[in-house]
Amino acid sequence: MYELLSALQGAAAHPAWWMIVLAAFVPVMVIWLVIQGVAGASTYVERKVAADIQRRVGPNQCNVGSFFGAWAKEVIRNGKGAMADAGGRFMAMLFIPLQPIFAMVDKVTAKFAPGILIFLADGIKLIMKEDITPKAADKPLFKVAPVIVLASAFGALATLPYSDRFYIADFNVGLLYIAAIASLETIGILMAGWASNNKWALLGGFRSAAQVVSYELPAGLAILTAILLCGTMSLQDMTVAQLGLGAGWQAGWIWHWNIFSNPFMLILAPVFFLAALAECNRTPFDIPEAESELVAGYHTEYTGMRFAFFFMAEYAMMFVVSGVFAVIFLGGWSTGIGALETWDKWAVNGDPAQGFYWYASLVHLLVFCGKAYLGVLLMMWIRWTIPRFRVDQMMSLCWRKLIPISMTCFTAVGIWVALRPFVVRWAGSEAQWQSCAGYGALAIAVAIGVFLVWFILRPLTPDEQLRRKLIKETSIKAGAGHGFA
Amino acid sequence: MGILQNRFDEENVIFTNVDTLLNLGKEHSLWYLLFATACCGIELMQWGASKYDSDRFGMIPRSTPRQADLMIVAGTITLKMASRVKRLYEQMPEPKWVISMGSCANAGGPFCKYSYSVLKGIDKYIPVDVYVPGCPPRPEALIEGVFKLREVIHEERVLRKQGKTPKPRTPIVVEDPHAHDPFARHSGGAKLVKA
Amino acid sequence: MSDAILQANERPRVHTEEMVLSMGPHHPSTHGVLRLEVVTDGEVVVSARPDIGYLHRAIEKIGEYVDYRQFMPYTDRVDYICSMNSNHAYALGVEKLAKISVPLRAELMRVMVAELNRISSHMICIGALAMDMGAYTPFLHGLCHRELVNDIFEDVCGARLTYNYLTIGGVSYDAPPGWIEKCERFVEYLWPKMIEFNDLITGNTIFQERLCRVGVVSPEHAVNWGLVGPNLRGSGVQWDVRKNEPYSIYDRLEFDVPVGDGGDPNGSNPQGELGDSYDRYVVRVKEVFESLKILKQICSMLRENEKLPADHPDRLYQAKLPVRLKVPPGECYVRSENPRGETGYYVISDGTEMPLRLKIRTGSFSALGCFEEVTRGLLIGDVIAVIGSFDIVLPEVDR
Ligand code: SF4
Repeated sequence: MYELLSALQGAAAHPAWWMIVLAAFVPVMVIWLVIQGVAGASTYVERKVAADIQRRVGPNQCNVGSFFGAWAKEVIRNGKGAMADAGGRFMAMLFIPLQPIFAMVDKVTAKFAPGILIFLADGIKLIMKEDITPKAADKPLFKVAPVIVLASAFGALATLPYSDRFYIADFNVGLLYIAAIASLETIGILMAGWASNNKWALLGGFRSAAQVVSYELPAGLAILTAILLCGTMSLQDMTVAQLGLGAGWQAGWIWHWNIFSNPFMLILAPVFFLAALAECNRTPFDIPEAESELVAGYHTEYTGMRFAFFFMAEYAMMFVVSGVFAVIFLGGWSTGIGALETWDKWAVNGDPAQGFYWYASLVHLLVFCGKAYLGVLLMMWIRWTIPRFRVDQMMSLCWRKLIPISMTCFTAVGIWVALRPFVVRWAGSEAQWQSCAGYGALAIAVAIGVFLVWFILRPLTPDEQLRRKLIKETSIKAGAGHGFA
Repeated sequence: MGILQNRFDEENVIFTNVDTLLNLGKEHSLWYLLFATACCGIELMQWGASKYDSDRFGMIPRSTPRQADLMIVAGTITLKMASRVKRLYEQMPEPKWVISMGSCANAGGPFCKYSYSVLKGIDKYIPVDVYVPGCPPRPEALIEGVFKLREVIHEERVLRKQGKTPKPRTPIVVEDPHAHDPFARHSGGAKLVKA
Repeated sequence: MSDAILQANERPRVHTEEMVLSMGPHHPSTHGVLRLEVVTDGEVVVSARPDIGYLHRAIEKIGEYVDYRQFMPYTDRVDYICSMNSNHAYALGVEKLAKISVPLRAELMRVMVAELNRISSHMICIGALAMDMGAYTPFLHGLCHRELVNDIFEDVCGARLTYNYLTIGGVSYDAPPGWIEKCERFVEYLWPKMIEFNDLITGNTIFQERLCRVGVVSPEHAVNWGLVGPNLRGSGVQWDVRKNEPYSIYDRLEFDVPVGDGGDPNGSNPQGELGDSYDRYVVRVKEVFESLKILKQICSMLRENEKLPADHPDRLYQAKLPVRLKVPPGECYVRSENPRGETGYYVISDGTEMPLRLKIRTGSFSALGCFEEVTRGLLIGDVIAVIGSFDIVLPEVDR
């Protein structure tokens, strides 16, 4: 952030005091906005995704027109009324020009995103709810728990490399920091469970602690493997490392991403994703808040805004783990198009002297957010499709399957990295090796493509044919829960 | 709403307008308590399910009373159950509303006359805002009940003081559930069936 | 080395206290107002004792105050998820006592609606079980299919849930025009949809893992505890009142009685154990298919029936009965196969317009009886699975 500011200000020998203040203040506001944005958008998107999967329509009442438009109408009516004072008339005057704008926005949003303001309504309502602290609760802990949970998500969001230039903080131990601060959430959840003095909440807290402590291991091993491969712990450097600079025309292409760099990383990616799901307590690992077992789990006793903190933290955490997934497997903000990344009007090296290309940063920002949000969408899809594990199954999945797999992959990648110099020497030079690897990756991609084409076009067995025909003939479009005639 | 609740005694237009905005938020986000005792509960389920889809109005079920705004008393309340219902109601945070769904919750329903164990109307225990008749009410009737409740919420005073003579909570009864076309009003231009 | 391990095992265990969880009467997955007093040791259930009576509405007592026809709506409310079947059982009882014979068309209509209602009831059961396991979507898909049954019922009797359609001596209304085609279309629609449903949840590994070997009721236990219906058949006991003691026109219909086959490597539940929760679930899914088969046959029989002249006795939908129905003194017990198992109506008449005593025997009640035994030593999540797989409906328990 500070770098960005100095780039904006021009080369200044000494930072001005206002820059320091700004550099401290702006990031906080930015993260807060990110949390609000991610949580707000995600609640809406989640409800729409769920609705689509469940053949419903989802929220469609809370449009701009029916919310702000209705408000504007009332304000104007009040301003014209007999009781109106100067303030009221002024407010009405303000709203008269706004009315057509609301109508216009409503026309667009009601078509493409009906019910988009639902998160605003939820927010307003949650702020206004009574704040209940149970009589027998451990009051300080009860009050501080949601803050801790949100703070951990807040802290983790700060280190994500949103773009090549736009990022809030870049530590040299970024991944370690994220792993540490993300597990702070568990402490908050455990506190919430304990302090609520509610048996369901207590069980939820215990479950969460057991779960996160276990799943930290496969996640940590996956992160470690990526560190081993890239030789850095900084998220920004790791992204740059995945550009594969210095490989001639090969640089910047998609096969430099860690996930494609060797077969073990491909195995490790789903392992990390599962562990990430468990860390943010999403289905099938939503055991701590299992709605049908523990009523609402650790946040059973929380009302209003305190509940909203848990809520926001959950979505922010989803975004964080998906972002980390994008960085350690999917090349962070890299577009994966080598020709673009190596273009000299496109700042790629992380070298400030090269100058600042805002359009490049913007594209990278969008790419990163897109990749991270893809993970969030995947989590939503999973949530609305499959059931949840039982406690013991969750544990055995972690200790019997995920940890051995990630351990093996870690070792294998270690050997891979150790053998690499020899392979490079055999190939001639780094660039030649890179292009060998590139051709290999291309060949594999072509093979996969051919297989997919065959899979789609293959002759069906009579059984499959019948089933497809039946389902096709009778399938109902989403939202039409009624009327098969 | 804490310290600001009902603080401002002047009929200031600004407060009126802010109240309207807050009320709009409340009425578009009525999370209901997943609470069903008997037959009406099945219709409540259908009301929340795909065809009637309560999520259209921003209503989602919460299973803990702490996070619910609206309690839909669906089904027969027996004498043994009544104190529990009251407890659940007390556990909900303000502002909260109650819809009494079905004849049983309204007045004892078919068990009013001969049964020795059925509570004859949940309004003996908790205040009810909207009564939805029927045995069971159709989901359309419940939708109408929710819209009636929204009208109640729309008039609420949040920042302003309650009037000198606070308006008594007049019970609202949904009339003729069959006459109501659920999609004629409030549909905001959206359609039920996706193409 | 081994001594050290032994010693470590013999060390006194950490003192833990048991915790009493009061699950219900308001809990998302006790299917109504059941209260379970669960004593747990950590996550392990030491005992789970059902506490019932939160929905005791004195229906049996009301039976002594209202006349035979007026009691019919109350049978709707005994088991509201399958009102038609409850109606049917009660109607059978009174007809047996009063020696009323029912015209063929009425019988056909009765079986038709009963089987439709069996489907819609199983839809709720299997969907709710999936919801208890954490998958919300199958539940809504189940309710979606159930809406269609509701539409069909609405066409024939005007109600969506509490139908009051069957009367003593027949059914209240004849099938409206186009109704049979609608039912046929429904059968055609649901069959592939059930396959889709199976793809969605029945074959899901997590779902199977959660239900297999959980809440096992062995065949002997099942019989001894008096389990009925799918719960009994899930334990591998082939007993179906429709087959073993056919009432109405079930003897003319062809259908199978699916039973649980847990542990059978070629069966539907190879990794399970006979009588576990998954068996009970699978039996219900298979029963939906059987009901669809029955519906197909009934549809063609109704079409045959439609060809008869309008004044043919087989075409009547109601037997002609006096307005004030007096039943000769005596007593009788009839049972019929409901989605939740055998439902028995025991009616004693003293020759007046009202029964002297009316007793209802229901399946859910006996399922709750063995609940404590079955759930001992399971985890909390499993208790939910067992409740769901027994398909308990509370007014049937409390009445
Ligand atoms: S009103 Fe009717 S449908 Fe509703 S709970 Fe009472 S008896 Fe059942």
